[in-house]
Amino acid sequence: MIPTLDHYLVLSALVFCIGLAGVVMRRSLIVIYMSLELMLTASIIALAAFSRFNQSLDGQVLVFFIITVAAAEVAVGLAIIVALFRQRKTSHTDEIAWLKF
Amino acid sequence: MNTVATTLFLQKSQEPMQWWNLPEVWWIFVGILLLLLEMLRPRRNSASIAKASIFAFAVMLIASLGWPTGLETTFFGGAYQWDGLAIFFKRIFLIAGLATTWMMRKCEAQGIQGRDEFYILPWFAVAAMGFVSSVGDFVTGFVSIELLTVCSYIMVAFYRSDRFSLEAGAKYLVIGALSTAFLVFGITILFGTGGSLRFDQLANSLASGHQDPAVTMGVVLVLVGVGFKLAAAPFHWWAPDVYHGAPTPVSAFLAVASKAAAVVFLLRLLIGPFAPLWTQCQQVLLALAGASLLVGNLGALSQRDVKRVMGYSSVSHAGFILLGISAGSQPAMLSVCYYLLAYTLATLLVFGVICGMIDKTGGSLMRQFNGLAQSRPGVAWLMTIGMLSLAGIPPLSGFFGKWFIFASVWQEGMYVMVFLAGFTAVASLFYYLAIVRHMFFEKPADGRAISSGLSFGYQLLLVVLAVATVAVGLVPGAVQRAIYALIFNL
Repeated sequence: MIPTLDHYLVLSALVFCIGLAGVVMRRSLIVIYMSLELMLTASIIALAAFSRFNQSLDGQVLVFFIITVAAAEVAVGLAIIVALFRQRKTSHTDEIAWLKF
Repeated sequence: MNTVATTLFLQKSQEPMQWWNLPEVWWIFVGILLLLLEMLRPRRNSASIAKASIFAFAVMLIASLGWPTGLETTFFGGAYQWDGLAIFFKRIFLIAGLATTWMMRKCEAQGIQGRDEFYILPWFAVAAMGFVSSVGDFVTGFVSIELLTVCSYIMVAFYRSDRFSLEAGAKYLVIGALSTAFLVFGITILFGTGGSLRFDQLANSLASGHQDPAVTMGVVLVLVGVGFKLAAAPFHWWAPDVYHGAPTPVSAFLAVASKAAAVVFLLRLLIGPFAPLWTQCQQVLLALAGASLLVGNLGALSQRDVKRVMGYSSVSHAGFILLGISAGSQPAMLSVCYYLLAYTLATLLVFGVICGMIDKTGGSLMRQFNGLAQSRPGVAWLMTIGMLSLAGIPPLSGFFGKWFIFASVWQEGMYVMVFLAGFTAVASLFYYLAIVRHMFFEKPADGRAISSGLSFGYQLLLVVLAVATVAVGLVPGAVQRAIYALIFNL
């Protein structure tokens, strides 16, 4: 079987939904952050597939930008999570809800 | 003034602009220069960097008077558009950057730990927003929005020893990344159906295939991503927490600049690729506007902390702005720009007062502002001007902002929305006036008067913002004509 565009899109939609479910349901900041990266990966899969099947390189270019930006975001994000962990000794979202009225 | 500006940005409109003359190039250059200065400076003392940063913002604001208006060009193969809309928003960003850096300086003078990056990051954030205001394709849009977001993460979580700041940073991080994921997935779907990432080409291809459900899905996902940045309900729940926990100048920056960047991105999308899909977009925008008006104004009523009130207030103002945008006419666009100007000035004023007073009151709870009018009447009056303008009391600019938006929405025949907005605007009086009541009519809890004063420079900043808030309201017609001339190139 030769994979068609639809196969890639179904894979991408699945990965996006798994990521979204992870963000909504998990309670550890690290896992939430991994799920968010998974959602970006879904876009990367779909973009690469669209580029391949539409014979246009624009999508591939955007893929590189997404990878770069995601790396920058992870660098800052993990720094914040580590600083939070050092202070509270936890990265569980239920235990760091201090901002309430 | 203009000669300074012309020497800074060599050209006037007869000469074609060059990419190295674009303001963002200069802003990023200033940011890098400040980073180098910080490295070379012998003692660890941020005062010099702070002063240099504020001075540079002032210079750039003056230089912005010399920008060529009445000229529409594109750069980098259409990825960057230079026009009146971009100029208007770039000036708003500069004002916000200047006021924010000034407030940051004040925060540090209050003994809260500050490091030089605090004054340098706004430069990259402002440059990113400048690119957003000129965006001409989705690659530029995505990268510049992300630059803004990553800078905001760092600024929100900047007080690393403060538990609230860190928690706000973590929340903003998750929300920011989530909105990015939605935005990128929407862009991906639009690329797949439209075959391009350029706004003009996308508009052409979407015009022919706008019945496709995939297109609708892509548009909705992009609007959800923008809705998060705009703090529009139902994507607003991060705003009160983050505004509360973040350092006060950063809250001001998020409330004003980050929101304005989302607004201009939305406008660019609506006049660009989403123009063929206007009816679908309008429904989504109206739903967001109605929800934001209700949630923002009713949610603020039960709050006891001024910064949280400002968080909900920013949600409600996002509602008013979205309402104006969804009217979709030319006067509506003007009224949105006027509203944003009034909102910017008043919000910066309110956050400026909070930032100046927070070490004297010991916090930003409403009762900690009790009796401010007796000990510091000037400051209390400045705060009152800001609050009344946000509430929309007649002689102030906030009133005319709301008035123009209501008028343009009424013209489009959306009477129910006008009544809803009017009702929530009346409700908003309660929480804005509650703060005024605490300042003027309540006795301080522990009988302690708030004594020590603000520096002359900081008072000057607050007074200038207050005068601008009043002045923009005194001559609303003239201001609107000026915006009209700028945006529609007359």
